[in-house]
Amino acid sequence: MTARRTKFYLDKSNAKWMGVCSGIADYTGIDALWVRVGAVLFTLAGGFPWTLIAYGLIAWMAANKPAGLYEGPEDAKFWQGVRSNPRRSTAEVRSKFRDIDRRLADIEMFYTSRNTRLADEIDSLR
Amino acid sequence: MEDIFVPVIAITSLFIGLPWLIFHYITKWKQAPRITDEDEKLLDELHFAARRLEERMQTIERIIAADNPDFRPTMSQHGYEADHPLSRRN
Repeated sequence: MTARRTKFYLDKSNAKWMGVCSGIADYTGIDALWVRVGAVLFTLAGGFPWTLIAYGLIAWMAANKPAGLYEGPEDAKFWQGVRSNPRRSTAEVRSKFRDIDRRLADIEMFYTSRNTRLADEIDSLR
Repeated sequence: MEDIFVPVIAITSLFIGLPWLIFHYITKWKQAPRITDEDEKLLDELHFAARRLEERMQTIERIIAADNPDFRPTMSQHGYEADHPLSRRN
């Protein structure tokens, strides 16, 4: 609970080499394969020493991903959304609460209207 | 002509264009919406509460639907009803 979910972490558990590419994939939600292909292509296309230096720096500076950071794939996806656009994620949570409120109102309505029907039936039996 | 022109372009692009590009994206990244530590904790709790409440809501709707056949809840917009028709639950 104490670990921040909006920080960049190295993802050693899905790492091919030092976990930078899988960390980027975990951070952004892009598939790790495309991140790796992009990194390799960028290196071949002329970024030769710089991409390796950047990779080494990131691997040296970033912390490892703590175990159990997310409770499940749905949780991980939610935090990816938060990192890219916190405003939209907040709106999503709000819409979830509104949905629950609406359904609860439906149930309340159902029970109150049913009780009046029941009272009518009791009245008719008298 | 060309022996002057090419190095000039190369040096300008290397020492002006490249830092410009990098700093442009750094400032953009700094201006991007970020949330503080407290906001993050609050959002985490709210998200957790919403998920738990939704699960409870589904349980209650299922129980009510089993007791009262004429109860037809307007399901959430998340497409839950499509894969779990009410009549086949419980």
